[in-house]
Amino acid sequence: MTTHLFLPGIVLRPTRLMTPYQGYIDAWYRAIQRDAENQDIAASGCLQGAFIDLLLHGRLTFDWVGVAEAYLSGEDGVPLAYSSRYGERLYGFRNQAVQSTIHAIHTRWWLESVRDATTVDHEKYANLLIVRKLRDGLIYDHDVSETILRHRMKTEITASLAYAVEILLAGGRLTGDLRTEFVASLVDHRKCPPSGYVSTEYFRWRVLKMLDATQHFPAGIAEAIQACAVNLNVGYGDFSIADKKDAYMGTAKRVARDKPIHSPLTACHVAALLDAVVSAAEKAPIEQHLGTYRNHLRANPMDIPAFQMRDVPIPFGADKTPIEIICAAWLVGEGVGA
Amino acid sequence: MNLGQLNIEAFLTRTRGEVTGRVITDAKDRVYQQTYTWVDAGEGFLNVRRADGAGDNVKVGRCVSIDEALIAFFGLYSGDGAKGSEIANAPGRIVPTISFSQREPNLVRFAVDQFRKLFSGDVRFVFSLGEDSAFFMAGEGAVWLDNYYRGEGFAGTPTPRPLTECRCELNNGDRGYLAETRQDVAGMNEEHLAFYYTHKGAMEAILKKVKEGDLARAGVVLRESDRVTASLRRPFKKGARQPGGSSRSDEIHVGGLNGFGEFFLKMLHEIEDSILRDVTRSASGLVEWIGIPSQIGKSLDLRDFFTTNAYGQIARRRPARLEDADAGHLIGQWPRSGETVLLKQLRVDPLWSYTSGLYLAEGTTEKAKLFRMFAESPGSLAIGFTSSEGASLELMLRTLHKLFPVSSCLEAWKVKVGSQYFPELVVTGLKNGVFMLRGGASGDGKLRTMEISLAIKDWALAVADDPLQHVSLLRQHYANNFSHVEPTGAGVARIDFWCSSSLCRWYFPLLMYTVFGDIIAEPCEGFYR
Repeated sequence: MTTHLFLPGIVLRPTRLMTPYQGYIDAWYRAIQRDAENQDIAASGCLQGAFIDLLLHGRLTFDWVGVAEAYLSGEDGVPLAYSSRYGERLYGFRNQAVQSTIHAIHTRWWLESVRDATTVDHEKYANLLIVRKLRDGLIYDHDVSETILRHRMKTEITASLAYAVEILLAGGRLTGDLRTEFVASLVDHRKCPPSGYVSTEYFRWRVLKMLDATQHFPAGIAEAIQACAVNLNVGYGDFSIADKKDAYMGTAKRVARDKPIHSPLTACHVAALLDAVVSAAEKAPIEQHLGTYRNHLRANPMDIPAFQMRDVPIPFGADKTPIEIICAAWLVGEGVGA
Repeated sequence: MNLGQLNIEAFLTRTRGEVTGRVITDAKDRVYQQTYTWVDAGEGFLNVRRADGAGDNVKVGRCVSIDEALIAFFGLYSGDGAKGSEIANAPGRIVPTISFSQREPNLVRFAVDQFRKLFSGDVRFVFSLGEDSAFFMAGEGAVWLDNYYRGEGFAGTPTPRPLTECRCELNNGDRGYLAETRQDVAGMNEEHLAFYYTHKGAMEAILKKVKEGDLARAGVVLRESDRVTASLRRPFKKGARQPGGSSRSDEIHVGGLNGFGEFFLKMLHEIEDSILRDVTRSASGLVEWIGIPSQIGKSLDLRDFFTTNAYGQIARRRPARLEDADAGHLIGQWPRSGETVLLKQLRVDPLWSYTSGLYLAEGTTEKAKLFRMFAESPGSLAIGFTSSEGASLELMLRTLHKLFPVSSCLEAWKVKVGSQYFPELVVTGLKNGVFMLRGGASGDGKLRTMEISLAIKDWALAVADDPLQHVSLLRQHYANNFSHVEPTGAGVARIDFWCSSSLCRWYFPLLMYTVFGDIIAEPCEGFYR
């Protein structure tokens, strides 16, 4: 049974997709194959390509590991986020594009595990991560991004630790002391305060679950989840538009025209966080809202929007991506309340 | 040189006095509307007033001649001028007020002169200097405050009194302030508010004096009806990030034009739109050029300009080299600078004039350098331009294409995104399966997550194309020069491009000549002095 930490609850196995999802996935897959053969590839592309392989065929039909080994490897074979040619997609970014991120390391480890779990050198990957542990008791990409903890994106902090812990566990490198340090740091309000971001809290929950420490998960998650549905007719956004503030001015004045968007990926994260909601009374409306969203996606399968900048109707960032389609397909088929 | 006219009377007659339009600024799409009546004021003037009788009687020409300086003024206003504020009970509709943000004293003087020229009646000005009171908590501001108190007979800046003493009755603004949180700021809101109310009078007096000094140095003669005021905000409220930090803003509020804001915006938009579409007559007929905009205006021989014109010099020196490159181009070089290829002829058309003003407002070059570069070395110069609007970007790039070969106009571009949109960037990354990694210690360097930058690039190119009937110059020539997304400060996402510094010494003299050439004969001797 193949799963991935990023896609909670989703088993990556041959799945019959709705026609619009199938069409989107087929077109995207053809494009990513071309890019990979052209050495113009990111680790995130390999990962999504592998997701699609598993979703369509139940196995890797394209040599994603080979692509990663050939084009996404630095000195001593260390996994890289971007191929040299992909780095040329941004002007003057070629040198910076050579970066070994936790995401890249985890992707390589996961791809190898999917190809043949018996041959993976877990310890090698665990060693790549253990050296990244910082004095603040967390593991994140400080050598790639030197940004101080306070200014880092909260999801990056919890997600990086989740990826690292998963590999450290597989590599048998997670000692009792390390576990204590991770738990203490992850629930320290000065380092990682309750965020109100669904993705941040989902990855925090996953870390604590892997460390058998969910009792330390911050209280109030149900309220935070419900806040992420404000101003949305259906679904959940990753953050609460009502709580959005200009970080410098401390006011909502500059964000009054911003609009939230719903996201299948976020809905999957919310579904996973249901385990953290203790009260049945708090759980029920969330399950109901997810059920409504599932019905909405059944009727409007491609209603997966992008943000827009205030009133300007131009997509700001991605709308549909393979990850969103996979999550939508899961919600429509087997999601919560199905 | 006369390049066209504003057909005020003909426009009002044709529209039966109704002025309406759409304005998109800071990604906010809003409309304005106003109805006017008008009467003959004699000697070629009209008195125009809101049809409902509110507002001022505004005296304006029946038909106003448009020259380079007036076009540049509208370009300047497009960048620095107020577009209006939204009506509380009518979302999406604005009431424009005519006011103008500019600190550089020479530009203030230029704007004042153009306002007085355009509106012949009783136009009056309120010059306001706004500052975050945190400026006075440390550094230069604290020294000013200390000197002020010493001048008043104190031993120095007194310790702030407790809030309960210096502000017995809190108002809603105070209560709101006390409830706010600022992660990056040390100290308590109560202490900051006490500082504010203890020293408010002293801080305002200091700011007022600073502004009066600035205006005097630029030769702005205050009339009896003009005023200078200070606008002081509670600490860290306006934009200062730390004690001693500045968030200065200089505003010119134009009085005597109440109710005329809609008409003024209409003039601005019709000028910009007719230049963007390169048509002789604007959509409503309010603006009428003497020909197709790109084909009118005086033509400058650039070899002559840089060898003989008073504006064709930097630090009182001429280019070290200026010779033919081919039939249409020169190759030039300033002392201690690189070679640059430029066109031999430049037409100072409405586009060039408009963007000269626009660049003075929105360009990233330090304005003071542009005014002193004729007489003394300006040091390093740079061309950069930031906008969230496709029209402004297109006009600036078209302008640079008039002077330099396409391949050398733009070095690279990026998208700057304010902090309130960081969550959107994070979600964009998650949709692609990656986490957002920032650059630099404070996180305002190059975004390290390429997937996010590339997703936002698509947005930027679409913004550049949006107001046009064709593919934008940004997409056509410079799509591959996109460098990165930069999470920084506050504000909507905006596109920021920069050019090779070697272009500056050719572009800036011509820009300044366009705006001030008919006003200041000898720029080496100073501007309004």
